[in-house]
Amino acid sequence: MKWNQPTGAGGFRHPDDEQLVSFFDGELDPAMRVEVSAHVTSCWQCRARLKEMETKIQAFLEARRKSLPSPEVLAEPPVEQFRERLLRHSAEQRSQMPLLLRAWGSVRRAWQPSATWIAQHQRPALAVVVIVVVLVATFTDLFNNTLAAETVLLRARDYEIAHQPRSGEVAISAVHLERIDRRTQAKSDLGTFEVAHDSATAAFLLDAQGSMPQVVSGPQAETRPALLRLAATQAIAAPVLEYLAERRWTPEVSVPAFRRLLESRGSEQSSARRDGDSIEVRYEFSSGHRSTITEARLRVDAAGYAARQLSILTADAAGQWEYRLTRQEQPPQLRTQQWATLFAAPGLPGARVHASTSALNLPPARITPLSYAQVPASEREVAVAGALHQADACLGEEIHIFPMSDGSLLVQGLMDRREQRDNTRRRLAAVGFPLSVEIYLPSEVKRGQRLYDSPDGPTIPLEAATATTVATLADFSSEQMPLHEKLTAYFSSRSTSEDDASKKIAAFSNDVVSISRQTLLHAWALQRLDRAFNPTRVRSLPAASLQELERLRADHRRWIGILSRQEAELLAPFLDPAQPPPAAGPNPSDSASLVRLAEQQGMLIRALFTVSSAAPDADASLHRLMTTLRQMER
Amino acid sequence: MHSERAFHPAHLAEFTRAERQRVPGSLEEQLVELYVQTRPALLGYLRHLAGSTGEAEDLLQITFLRLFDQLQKGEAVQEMRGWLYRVAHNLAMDHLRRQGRAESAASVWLEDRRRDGLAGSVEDEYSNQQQINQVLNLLNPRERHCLLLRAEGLSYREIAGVVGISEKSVSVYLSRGLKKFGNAE
Repeated sequence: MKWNQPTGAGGFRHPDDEQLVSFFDGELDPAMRVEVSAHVTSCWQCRARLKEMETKIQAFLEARRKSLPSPEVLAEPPVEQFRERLLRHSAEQRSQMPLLLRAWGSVRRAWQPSATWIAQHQRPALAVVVIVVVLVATFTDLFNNTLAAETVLLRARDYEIAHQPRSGEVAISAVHLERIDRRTQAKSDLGTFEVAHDSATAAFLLDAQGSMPQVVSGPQAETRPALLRLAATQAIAAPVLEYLAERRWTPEVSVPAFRRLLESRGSEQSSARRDGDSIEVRYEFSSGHRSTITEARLRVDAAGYAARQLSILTADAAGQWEYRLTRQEQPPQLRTQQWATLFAAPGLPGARVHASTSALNLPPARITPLSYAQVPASEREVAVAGALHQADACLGEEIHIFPMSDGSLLVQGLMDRREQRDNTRRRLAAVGFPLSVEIYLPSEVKRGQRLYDSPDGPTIPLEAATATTVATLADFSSEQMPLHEKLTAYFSSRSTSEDDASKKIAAFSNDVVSISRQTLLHAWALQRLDRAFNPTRVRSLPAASLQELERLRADHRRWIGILSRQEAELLAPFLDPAQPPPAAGPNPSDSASLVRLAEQQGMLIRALFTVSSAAPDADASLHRLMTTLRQMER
Repeated sequence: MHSERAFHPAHLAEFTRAERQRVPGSLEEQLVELYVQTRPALLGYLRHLAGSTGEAEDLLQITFLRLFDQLQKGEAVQEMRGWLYRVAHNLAMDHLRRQGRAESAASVWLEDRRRDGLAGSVEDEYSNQQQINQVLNLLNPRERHCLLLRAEGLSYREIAGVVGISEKSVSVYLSRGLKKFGNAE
């Protein structure tokens, strides 16, 4: 069909059905679109056709809607089932992948930005998947002796990317610098750098022979001081230093550092050759280069392409020198809070590396909780514990303080009541420093929130605590309660009617059980405090924090004392007068024995105040209970 | 005073067991998220193709396993929406082909039962399912696919990619389908 043939009402032929539907869908090319639009404006017939088309579309949509899955099916995706299936599938796939590819796959995945299709489809719902581009290098030429220098550098860089420090760790290497007289081969030591690479940021630290560590992050940071410290003791020619400083070169053995060296060498010459179990690439500088550098060399392992040695060769009037840096990997260290502080301390150069990780193309690593054993306690943790204490969130709640791998603190856990959560959040907001707070209500957890295990290891078992809570008011007034006779006798003489007496018994029993439970909660909170702030963790805390901890502990002990005394007073009238008064046993010295005692009193209360199939001897139990309470009173 | 729940860490333990193997931000978790978000649209389309919700769900999940494989291998997925629909579509077609073979066996069996006067429930179930799609069944498969995908908001280019036809043909099938559809009203 041609558009320029005059016909019909509008002077043009009517668009056919395909064109009309394409027009409707906005899929015509612009020129055609203009024409059809003009035609439709002037042609009644085609306007009617469009209208009819719309009706048909609506009819179709209606039929489609009827046959769609029910809203319930759509609203409740079997997420867990799918996750399990995917994880199983993923585990199978991973186990089949070659090791190298696996490492690269995961690194690249985290590494590549995810822009392409997200830009094309603005639907935010889809904007989560990461685009992956992996260049799979073939290792067929592993045994070739001649390799392109660039290829070697690319692979060495791949190795580095695949061997970044693991999450929660800091990779350490020692870089030894020596100067070699190339004519006599005489070596002299210039010193050793410690280089620490962070897993959570792109920062790394340089520490020259125990002096103040310096955060450097790629080319942005000022690296000259570090070099000058070395230069002060041993001579590195001024033009060389000048060039290195200008290139913002950092004395470490890595491909980025090597490339920075080459940035303006003024030559295109490079070569690579295999030498035993390593490959050496050589990049020449232009002759008469102002830096007096003649060549830069990088030596990598032939098997894995790990960069091992970097050399700067110079020639000046005084002689020919090689500055050789040799890297020695050290065992990785845990990313403790001290490390995190060093990497992100305000005021240090490079402190804002979080915002500019582009320099090294390192992905920001996942932030994970550390266990209490891994990091010492900080003042901030103590402050958070104090805030939780104020909100009573230390009692019986599943709330933990997590030191995170990036040095931050996370308060996470479950709480039953919204008001208590609000209260706790308010208290935590008042601590005066940034803090992640994730306190969920159980209903929210079901919707897929993340919860970590306690940093203290497994949760303390609370069977005994659970046991004290099963009693209900109905049980309290039951006639089968072991103490029933004594209670009835006591309360009848103080009541107007039988009904009144049984109400009083119920209220009394309720009080006793509540107090017993509160006692246990405080003992438990004390124990958690002891575990979280154990002697190893608090070793380096300032005196003020230690005092605060002691205050928190004392508060719990005080409450245990008060509650135990109250309970003993309540129960005193029912003791068998024939028996000798209960003697106060030895005072518990630690929170573990306090918890044991609290559990014991809880169990006895439960036995005495609830219906139990094996009714204990009321007198003996009561006596034991009083002994326990006396022990806890102080 | 603390509520009873605080004493029962059991639900927490159970939850964290499942939680432990989750790695937030991992490819797996991102896919789970994508699955949740795209499920309503994809499931609707797949159900039209496959007939039952159960089969559609299974095909949908297999689609995401394929996506996982693709990304895990390091192959790029350029146009996610089109990709998901295409793979889902092809999986459904394969499924139908396999089922077609199974169905012919089933119809023989059904025929036997009917002869014996025992057909009953099996047959009912089958015709029920047919009824659901009765209206849409007026359309031939290509027309139905194009219309359904268009209704999901896919562009002609995407539809062409999913169904495996040219963009021009998409408009042909759409207009033909609509015409047929409207005539049946």
